[in-house]
Amino acid sequence: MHLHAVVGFSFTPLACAMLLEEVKSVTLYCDQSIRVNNFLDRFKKINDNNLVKNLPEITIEVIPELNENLGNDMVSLIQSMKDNTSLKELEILPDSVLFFSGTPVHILAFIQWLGFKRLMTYERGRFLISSVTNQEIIEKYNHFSIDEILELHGLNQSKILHKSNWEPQGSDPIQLISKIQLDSPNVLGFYWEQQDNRIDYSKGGLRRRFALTVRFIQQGLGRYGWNHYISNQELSNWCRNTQNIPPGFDEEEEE
Amino acid sequence: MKILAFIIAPGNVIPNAIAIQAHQPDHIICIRTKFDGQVLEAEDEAHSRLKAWIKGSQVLVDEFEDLEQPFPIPHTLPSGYISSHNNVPDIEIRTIVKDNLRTELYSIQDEYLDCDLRFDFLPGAKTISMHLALDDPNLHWIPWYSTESGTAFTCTPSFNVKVHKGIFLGIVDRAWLSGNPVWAERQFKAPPTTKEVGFHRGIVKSLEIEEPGKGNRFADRPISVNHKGFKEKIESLGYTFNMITEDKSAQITISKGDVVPWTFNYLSEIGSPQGFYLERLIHIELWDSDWKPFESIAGLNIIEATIEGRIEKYRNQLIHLNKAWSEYDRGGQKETSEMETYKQICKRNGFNPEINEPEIEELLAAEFDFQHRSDEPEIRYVCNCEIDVLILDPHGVISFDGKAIIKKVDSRIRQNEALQRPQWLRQYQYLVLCSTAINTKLEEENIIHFQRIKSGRKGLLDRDRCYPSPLSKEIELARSFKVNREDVSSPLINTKFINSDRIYTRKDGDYIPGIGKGILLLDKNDLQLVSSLVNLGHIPTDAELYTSNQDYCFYFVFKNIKLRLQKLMNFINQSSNVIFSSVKLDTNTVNEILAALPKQLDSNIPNWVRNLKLGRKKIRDKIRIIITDKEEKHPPGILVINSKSKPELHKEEEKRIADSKEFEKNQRRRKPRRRRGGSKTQPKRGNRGGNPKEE
Repeated sequence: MHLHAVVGFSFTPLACAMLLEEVKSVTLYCDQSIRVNNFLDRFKKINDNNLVKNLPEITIEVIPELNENLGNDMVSLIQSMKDNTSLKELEILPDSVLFFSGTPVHILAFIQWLGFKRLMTYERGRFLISSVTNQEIIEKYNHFSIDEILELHGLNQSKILHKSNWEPQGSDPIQLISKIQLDSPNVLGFYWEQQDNRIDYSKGGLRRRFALTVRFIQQGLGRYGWNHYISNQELSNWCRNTQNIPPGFDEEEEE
Repeated sequence: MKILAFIIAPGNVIPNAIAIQAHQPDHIICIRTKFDGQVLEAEDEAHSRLKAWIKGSQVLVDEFEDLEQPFPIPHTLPSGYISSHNNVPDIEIRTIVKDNLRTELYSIQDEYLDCDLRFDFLPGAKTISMHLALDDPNLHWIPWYSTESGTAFTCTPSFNVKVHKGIFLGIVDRAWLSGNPVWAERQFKAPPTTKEVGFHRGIVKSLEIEEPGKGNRFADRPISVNHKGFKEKIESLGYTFNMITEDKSAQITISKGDVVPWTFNYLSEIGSPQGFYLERLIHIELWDSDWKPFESIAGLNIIEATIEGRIEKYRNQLIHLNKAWSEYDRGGQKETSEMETYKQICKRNGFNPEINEPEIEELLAAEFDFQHRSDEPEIRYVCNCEIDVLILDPHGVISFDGKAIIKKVDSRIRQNEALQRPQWLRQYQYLVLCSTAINTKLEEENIIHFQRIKSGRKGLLDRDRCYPSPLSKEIELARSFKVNREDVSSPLINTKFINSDRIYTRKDGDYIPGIGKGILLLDKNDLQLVSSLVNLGHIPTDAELYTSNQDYCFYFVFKNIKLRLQKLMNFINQSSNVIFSSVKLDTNTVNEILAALPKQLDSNIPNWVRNLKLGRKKIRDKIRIIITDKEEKHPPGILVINSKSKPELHKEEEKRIADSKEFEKNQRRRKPRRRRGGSKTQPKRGNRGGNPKEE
């Protein structure tokens, strides 16, 4: 199988897919070679440690950039891709599968223009390869450890734990995340300290520390790579929709 | 008939509204997906808001708790769905098991034969919908993607793109759809008039650079209306400048011709200059530039959605103001705008906090009553945040906050601001600076200088984006310094390179150490300028800067430049009567220095210095030489100390060595910390009591 994937910002499923037994070669599309190279460096390092399998043959294709600073909005992006000669020269062989990553615009364009017939997604801990008439499920694949997942995203446990450190006035700092564990092969669970007489999540300072840490983790792992377990129901609910303002957040009672 | 289908996610319906507004459908099918066996809540509040929005502005507003409580809350009405053909589309929500999406679409297409069937991929979970993009001869839905600009497109085979230009979803509507009422102080849905732009340009042309503020600041000396030169300039251009003062506060009105006069707060209740002028200038400047927004708002207040939330927020603000008052009242704090605001709130409600301070609940009730009676109720205490300027362009909503000065880059304050914003306002945020003295650290931040707004988005890629344009002569001077391992020089300023691992100079009667290498300014008139550039990080140094009353007056210290004896000797020749220097030296160097010193210093150098014996093998270890002149009381003479073997000094001098060690120890303790900016960034309007944007 030849896997084609746009390199986005969530790396674990892509790295798992690249290590699937079925995958013999990979083409990675990226608008910034530095980002894809950083990802490959980490990926290779992890694979070298584990020796999961011989790495597939990897090709990199640079594609037009989606860059807000350059004024490249989605409409400009699609126009640039339309005129991209290297994309036009690509030949998609029957064993090719398009991995779902990047933006929907990339997927729409690749399917329509390059003629991909199969799309691979990662859902609920398994890989699905869909065609219009068929769906193949792959459940056997390499599972990364917590540290490997974090490393793929340029994070580590101490960075995250440090972020969750809360320093109450006049007391020693408290590390609010008590443990990190794997909820599923691709999802990390962050367990927050129980509420007690020292730790009161109804207080502004703790809410802020919680919200900042959740967003920090989200920034690193993407939208779907994490779960938070916290006894405070309001904060727990907020995690389902972190795009809202954190509940009861009020600057005036923060200190 | 145009049928639009998409996935509707819980909580966030802005992408759905963007797609609806872009496509202008006749019928909308929202597909709510669930896992097999999953039980969903009856209806998501956001979905109700979307349905209401389609029906119109007031229907959407009615979705919110009474905006007359706890007092009439000023708000800007949303537009609601805008139809290009006066048609309100029907909307339905269908809940299906996610794996059945394709079959559901087969089924719907059978209901709508011969219709223009569009499936939009912008809203909803992509992992569920993306399979539909695969070419299926039996699926008649065309895959579309809507964008922030109201343009939708679809890709067709052979590298073709079909584009549909619709209507964009406005900023105010996004806010209401996301669950917050808003109040927009000033809104443009089309470019300002030529007259208005001309009026603005005259004001910008008249801005003057302020004098430096107190203490080290990350950004200082703004171009502003606060400088007296501004009044002269603006009047010379035919504008009328009028300032009205009341106690310590002041308001400025600028007018010319038939353009609506511009009035803004100039001084706060405690007489501090305000930055309000920036908001309007940024707003117009964005239109008079390459940004080309579709829409803009200056002063957007995001209002707390529930009555309970608004009461709670107001109460917390009063508690905060009361705290500031109490601290002031106890004599622990000087006058602040917060305490002044508290005093005024008390006063307008018939309380005198100096005599009988009201209970918070008592004051809260009085305040709500006051706001009820007011013609213009204040909303700053019921808002989550207030944003200076927002624009909508092809990338979405971008927010700009103006800053005249930055005393300190405080990440926590930035994070606070971010936390108080809903996601749709957090995507792209920039600070707009109008300062002219700017620390290099700000290059790393999302900051664009006011004078670079003109160049639009391209300006964001410029490494100098936080600096004025053209670059100030000061920054050019800083960049003219060539720093390498052997020399530091600038063609624009007269300098002499010096080398030392440790240089002491005297400040306020104390010895202060600097570490590294440095240059000597040969003209003391350059002192203030270079000092300011070093403080702002434009000239690399890791040491504090000190001045002296001596002629040479100043040095600063560079990183990572190794010792060059000849340079050091030159330095000593120039200024040996003032500088104390401690350096790591090898034997030859020490001998050379010792040989050189008698020529430079007078005969007061004690004999023990001249006759000093140095241990042969230890000489490469850390040796400290402190050079002083006769006027310095401590430490006297020349002292050479080998850190591993004590030099052979006669007893009389041993105490001096001990004193010197103690002296050095003290110096280490006193070693200054890295410079920081001032103590606080400017307070934000609406977040705190008191007056915003105070410098």
